Amino acid sequence: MNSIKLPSEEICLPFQGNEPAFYQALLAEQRQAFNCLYLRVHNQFIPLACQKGGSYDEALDVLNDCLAIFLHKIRTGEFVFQADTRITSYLYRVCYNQWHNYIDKRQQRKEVSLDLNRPTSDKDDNDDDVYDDTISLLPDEQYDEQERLEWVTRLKKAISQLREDCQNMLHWFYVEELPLREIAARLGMTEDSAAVKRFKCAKYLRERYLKA
Amino acid sequence: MELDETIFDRIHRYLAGRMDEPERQQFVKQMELDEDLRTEVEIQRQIKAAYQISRNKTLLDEIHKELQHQGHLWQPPKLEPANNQGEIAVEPVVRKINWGYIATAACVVLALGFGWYFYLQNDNSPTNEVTKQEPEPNLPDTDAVISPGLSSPEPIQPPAQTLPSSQPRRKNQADTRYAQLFKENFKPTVRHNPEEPADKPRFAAPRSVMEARLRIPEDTAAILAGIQLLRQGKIRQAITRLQPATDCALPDWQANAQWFLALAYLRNNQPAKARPLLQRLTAEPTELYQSQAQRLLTNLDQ
Repeated sequence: MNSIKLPSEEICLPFQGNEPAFYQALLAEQRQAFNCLYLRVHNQFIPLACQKGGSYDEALDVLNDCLAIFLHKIRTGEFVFQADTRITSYLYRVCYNQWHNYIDKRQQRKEVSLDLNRPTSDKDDNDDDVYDDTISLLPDEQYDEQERLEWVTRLKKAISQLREDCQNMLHWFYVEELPLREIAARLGMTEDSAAVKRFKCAKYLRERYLKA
Repeated sequence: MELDETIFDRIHRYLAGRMDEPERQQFVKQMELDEDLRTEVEIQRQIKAAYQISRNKTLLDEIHKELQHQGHLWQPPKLEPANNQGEIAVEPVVRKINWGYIATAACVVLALGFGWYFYLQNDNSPTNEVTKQEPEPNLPDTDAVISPGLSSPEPIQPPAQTLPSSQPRRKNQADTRYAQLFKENFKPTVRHNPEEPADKPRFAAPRSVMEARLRIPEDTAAILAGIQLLRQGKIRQAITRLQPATDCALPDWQANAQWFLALAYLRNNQPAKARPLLQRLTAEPTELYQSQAQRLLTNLDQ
């Protein structure tokens, strides 16, 4: 692997050698902490994935998925910082796990390729060299990224079937977590009407989500 | 348990950690006793998580752009010839132009261009037929037939009576059966539900929604091209075109893509791949192909 000079001195300076402070900054959703996390994991994981046969874009997708889920886990308290661990190392392993999954799926897709002339046992030259034995996979109970990504896929399908006003309403409610009072003000309606509308939209979304 | 406003509100106060301790304890106890409530909490938790993960992805895209712009991110090395001595190659500022090479290249381009032009003039190839304007077919009243542009109803040709003779028939007897099922079910008409008004264009939608919607014209073209390719017996090409459209943002389009892809798999002697698509169609809320899919599944099971 090419040696990489990390330009993290500046961006990660406040968290250098101080993991608890880094965790606290992530918990407080500080932009600099997010930037530092992205920078560290990106420059550690992407070169490995590219070297092992993945494209830059594929690796970037995996990184983006894993980081998005990790930030959510921090927010909900599902990720709890342990004194003897490094957050970046943990995430690197999560990304590697997810990437492992991705490569497995890609392999399966090749095996059911429509190109019937090609023997199914054929593999690309790179396929034998996609895994790094020095990195151990996380145990199943510590790894549920795939399941969460499926929620996201289902939600996207469900949202696309909603009307614009419902999409806005639910975005304000679930993402921005605005109080009902403010949502009602934005829609120019009373709080009671807004509550009814929010419930109807959420119920419709729920139905679509379960069918997706 | 029927989800009502009060329960919905309580679930979200619980998920957001906005309940005081006695209320939270009571709610947890209620969940322990009520399986339906537990399920409902889990569904709402998933939806909320999925929303916030999507939001995070957008935020991370921004961070990526920012850091990339600042030159902090590792970039894959560009493919350049290795220089073992570690010397920096120096390119001449002004290159000598070799007119001989340019003239030869121009001749080749011209020859290829003319060749291609005359080939297209005489060609009756299916690729061109996909884009041809075709006469109005006799269509059943229940089916709405639409054009690639989505706006004005425009025809797609009625099914060919036989597949082109250039397609070799497979020896396998099972294939003949699937081919027969394909022939019985394949009608090159796209269906949609005219009573369900199309959504207005959204300029403030989340990025994922916008992206999915921006792909709609591409998906439409893929479905129509897929149908034409099926008509011409180019089954594998049809499969390749139809596959991405099965995730189209429009549910009706999704159903069309799934239906024609299922037929294509069937025609390609791959009933195992057709089956899950047909099963999805039977559960489809749009009901466009529900009964046909059910019938076809029954036929396959016989």
